Amino acid sequence: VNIYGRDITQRKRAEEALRENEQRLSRAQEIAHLGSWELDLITNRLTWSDEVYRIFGLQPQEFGATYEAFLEAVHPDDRAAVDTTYSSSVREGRDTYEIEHRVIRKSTGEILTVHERCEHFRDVSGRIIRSVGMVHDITERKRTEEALRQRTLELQHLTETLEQQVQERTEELEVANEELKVEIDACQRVEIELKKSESGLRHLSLELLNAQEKERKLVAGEIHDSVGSSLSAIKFKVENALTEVADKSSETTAVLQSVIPIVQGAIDEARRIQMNLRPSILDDLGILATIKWFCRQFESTYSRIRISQDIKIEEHEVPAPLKTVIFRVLQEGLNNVAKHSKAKMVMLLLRNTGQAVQLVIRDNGGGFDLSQVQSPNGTAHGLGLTNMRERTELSGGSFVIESTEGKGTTIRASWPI
Amino acid sequence: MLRVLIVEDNRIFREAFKKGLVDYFPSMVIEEAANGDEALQKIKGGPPDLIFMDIRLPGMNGLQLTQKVKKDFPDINIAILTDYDLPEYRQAAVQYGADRFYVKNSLKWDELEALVQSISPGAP
Repeated sequence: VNIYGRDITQRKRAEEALRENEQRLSRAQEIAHLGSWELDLITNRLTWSDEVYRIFGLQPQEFGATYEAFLEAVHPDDRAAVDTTYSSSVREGRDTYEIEHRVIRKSTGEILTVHERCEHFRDVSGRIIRSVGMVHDITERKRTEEALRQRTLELQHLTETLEQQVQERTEELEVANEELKVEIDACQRVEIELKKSESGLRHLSLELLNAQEKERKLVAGEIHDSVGSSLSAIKFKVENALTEVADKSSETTAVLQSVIPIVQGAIDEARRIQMNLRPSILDDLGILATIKWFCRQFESTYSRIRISQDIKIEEHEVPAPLKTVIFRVLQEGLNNVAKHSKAKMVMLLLRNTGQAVQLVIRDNGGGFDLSQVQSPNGTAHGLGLTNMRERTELSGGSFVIESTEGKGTTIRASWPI
Repeated sequence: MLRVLIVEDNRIFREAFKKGLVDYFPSMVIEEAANGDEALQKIKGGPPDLIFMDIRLPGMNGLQLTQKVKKDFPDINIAILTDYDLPEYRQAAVQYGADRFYVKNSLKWDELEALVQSISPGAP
């Protein structure tokens, strides 16, 4: 008996290693969803890796792979294209081709998208004898890409919508802006007109005050020059005639003597009217003498009120146009004191500060609520204050009034020099 | 013979006053002026002994005129004759150099006579 033995350990090991590699490859293909196939064009034998079966929804190696079984798994709408691509690549002798198409998994009917790449191998004569390909399930990637595409589209749409909204809002804002500009222009025009109007009114007020003062001066002058002087002449003549009458007890003498007090009364009345209109002393002697005269007259009329005068300015230091204004403000101020304040004492100050001529009238009367007096429906008192303020400001000065109920009132008018 | 100038812009009073003076002082030589310029001309033509000067005159007023005349002719007596019997006017008259102060509607002949006698003793 001859026993032949052969050590096949090496072969067994090699087979074991091959099997392990095949398992590793199969596992790798499963993880990557990447299957491979091979078509022997000589024997027309097609082999699929396990993953190809799984991709197509079949049990691995459940039947022998065929090109027809492959085409059957391809989505009907892609089938012709897949077949044509493979056939034409062989017919045209190309080395490789790639195609993306859908497959329908037989087990679930689920539609997958796969990417196929095929490479042809040739014999020595150059004839294609074998095709090796891979099937890569890219459904997830496609879904992700589609979702990304959808998201991009949505974003694009959103961006477009936003851009449109921004554009619309910008247009609305531009319209609003234009309308606002028109309104601002209109407001500015109104403001300019108001300023012009205000300036015109101020000018008119100034003209009115000047015209009033001029008219007063004219009428006062006329009363003095014509009426007053004529009355003085009459009185002088009557008195002269009386000196020439021999019989002092005659009726003529009595008549002439009775005329004298009548004429004197008329002279006094004419002078009173004239001084009220515009005191001649202002034009003849100036503001300082006028203040002294007016204060004396005032104290004589309102015996309960005393005026303390503090004059710290020379006549020539008061600009001529201010003399009338100062007198009128003083006149109005003291009249207010007499009518409204119940004061017993007035402090009057006129001084040259170096920068300004300043007139201060301070009383120890009851004071008043400025906001009430100066309101639009204020009293004659308020009107008097307005007149003083207007006269002062129109002549380039500033006017300040301070008053506290129970603590008296102070008026400060100041003109820069 | 006392030479007098009346400076008064109101013609009626001026003429009435002149007539009164002439009647009271027959030897008095009286001239008239209605304003400052006219007065200065007459003074330069022959200075009077006495001027009756109104204050309110067209142009230069009587006080300014008084000052001007007194500067060139200090010997001329100037009597202010005004409507206003006010201390301020009296004080101003003195300041401007006037010698006397009379109020038009309360003139007293004895005062005028005393004035004339003080300037020209023995004048009729």
